[in-house]
Amino acid sequence: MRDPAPIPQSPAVALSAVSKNYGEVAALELLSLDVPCGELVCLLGPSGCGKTTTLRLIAGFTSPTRGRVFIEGADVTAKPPHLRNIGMVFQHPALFPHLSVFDNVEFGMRNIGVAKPERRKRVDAMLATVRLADLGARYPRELSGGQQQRVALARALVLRPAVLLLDEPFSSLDAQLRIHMREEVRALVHQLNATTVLVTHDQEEALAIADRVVVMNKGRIEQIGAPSDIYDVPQSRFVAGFIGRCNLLPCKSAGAARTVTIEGGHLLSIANDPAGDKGVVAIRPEHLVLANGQSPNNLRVEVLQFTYLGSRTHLHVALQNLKMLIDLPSAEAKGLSIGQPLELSVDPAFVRFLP
Amino acid sequence: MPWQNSRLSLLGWALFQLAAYSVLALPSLVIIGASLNPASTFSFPPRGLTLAWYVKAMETPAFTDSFLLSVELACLATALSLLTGTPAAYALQRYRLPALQPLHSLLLSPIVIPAIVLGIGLLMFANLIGIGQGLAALLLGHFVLTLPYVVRTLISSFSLFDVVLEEAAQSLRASRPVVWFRVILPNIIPGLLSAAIFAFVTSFGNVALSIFLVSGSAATLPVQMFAAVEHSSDPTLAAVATLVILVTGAIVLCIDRLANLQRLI
Repeated sequence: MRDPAPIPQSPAVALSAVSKNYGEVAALELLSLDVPCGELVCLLGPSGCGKTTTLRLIAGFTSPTRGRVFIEGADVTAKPPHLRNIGMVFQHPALFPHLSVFDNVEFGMRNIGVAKPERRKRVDAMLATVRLADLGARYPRELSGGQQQRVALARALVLRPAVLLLDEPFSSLDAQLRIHMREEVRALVHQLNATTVLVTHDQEEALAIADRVVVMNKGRIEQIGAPSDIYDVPQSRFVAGFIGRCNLLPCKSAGAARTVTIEGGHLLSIANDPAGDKGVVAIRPEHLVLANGQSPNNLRVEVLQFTYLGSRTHLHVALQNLKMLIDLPSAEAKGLSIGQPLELSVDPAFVRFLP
Repeated sequence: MPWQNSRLSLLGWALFQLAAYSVLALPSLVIIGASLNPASTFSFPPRGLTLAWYVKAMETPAFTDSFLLSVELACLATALSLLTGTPAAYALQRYRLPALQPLHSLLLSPIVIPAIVLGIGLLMFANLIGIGQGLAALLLGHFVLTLPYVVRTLISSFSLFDVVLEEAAQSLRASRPVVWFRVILPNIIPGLLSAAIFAFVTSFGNVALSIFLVSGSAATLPVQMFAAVEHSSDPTLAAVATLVILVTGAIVLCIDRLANLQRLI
């Protein structure tokens, strides 16, 4: 008898050509996504882009109009939420107000018939992990917002779900606590090797926390990639404009490889071959620097306005009729004045053509 | 002087309050007074103190039987209204479908329809379906009477209960029954209690509807009292009435303790 062929490990979550319509409105269109085990994926996009719908489809709170949802390789499309191996944390902690912290964390294990001594052991261990070991007897209303959200995390993670779903879990916290909590969550899910899907509209949060970012717009995936890929190599005008700030300059193909013509006939060397005759080039404000001698990508601009931001200064400049934003270290911006002509340059590696 | 003015207005306010409470409490006080009066006819103020009428009330089967019937009826009607009204209120609050709006109005309509109209209608209906007068017809009537209070109270309970808690429970492997019994019900206990008490008191004190539906041999306590007052001025009735006031008062006190009365009305 031969050994059975090794079964390739299934992704923790897979969405296969999923569409969701609300009446005439398409919230999701043919969305496919694999989330490998142990990965922290952020669904990022403006409100109404379908990111929350995607999360709720994985959880089972909504069902797709078409397409299938898989968790650990099993088709769960028709299964209700309580039969899917998920954990979820909501925008607000949503702790059970009538149960103590301990009972909140124990709740799920009672539903799947974990024996009492085992339950006690796992609750204690999980509360220690989220640094709430001493607060088991408290009630949710006696905890701070951050503590409540940690209980919500503990309550979900103690079940060791195939995937942890986080629906803007930091949005109810104040700015400082939000940053602290997201660091803590990242450390925690990596420590437990918990596959996690996080929904957020906050790009900084997504870039800071995710292994992989899924940028969504109008019910479709615009781009999937590591945070630095998403920021450095945006593949559509939407991604370039949505993640960070970006100058999008209309351009034409100049005929030669990796060269385009922009406003005023300037030739620009760029990082990729233009796909098509017309498009835009995307340049991040911080990649435009004051020219230092002759370089192929010199641009002569006029300063329109300053915005001083402490360590950085934003310059609004005009390249003939094109307005651009430049992000300079404040030390370099010192001594510049409005109306002054300025020689800028940009490394071709940071200029990309987008159709 | 200002402090005199404020003292005066305070005094005026106190007097006004006293008058208002007196008007509300006086009928009860008269009844209680009469029940303790040794005179053999209904009179006030009392010229002595006796508990004889209470003893007589306890020894009169017409009152004790009808009291037990009223308690039984109120318990059954309350239970039936809670069992059906809780899911109904949940559906009305959670699923705001346009199709449910007429149902909502229908469920609450017994509050605005005069009980006497309801009584006549129910009597005809009971005869039509062949149950006639008696406990079954009474239960049906009191169910209709108490259901709106239950539905109204619980709709407000459910609107204060965050639906995300249900989703959180489902994400923690709770099936629908577990969500109901371990998450929803424990959180609406105050609403359930006040709904139960509203329903019980409404049923227990009702005459206008019951009078059409009681069978000759077994009347509810309020109907029995109504009949008794027509052809006797025996202070026993005052004793019975005082007991009803005490029972109802105790129950209302419970509402006040268990839930915020103002929020529910």
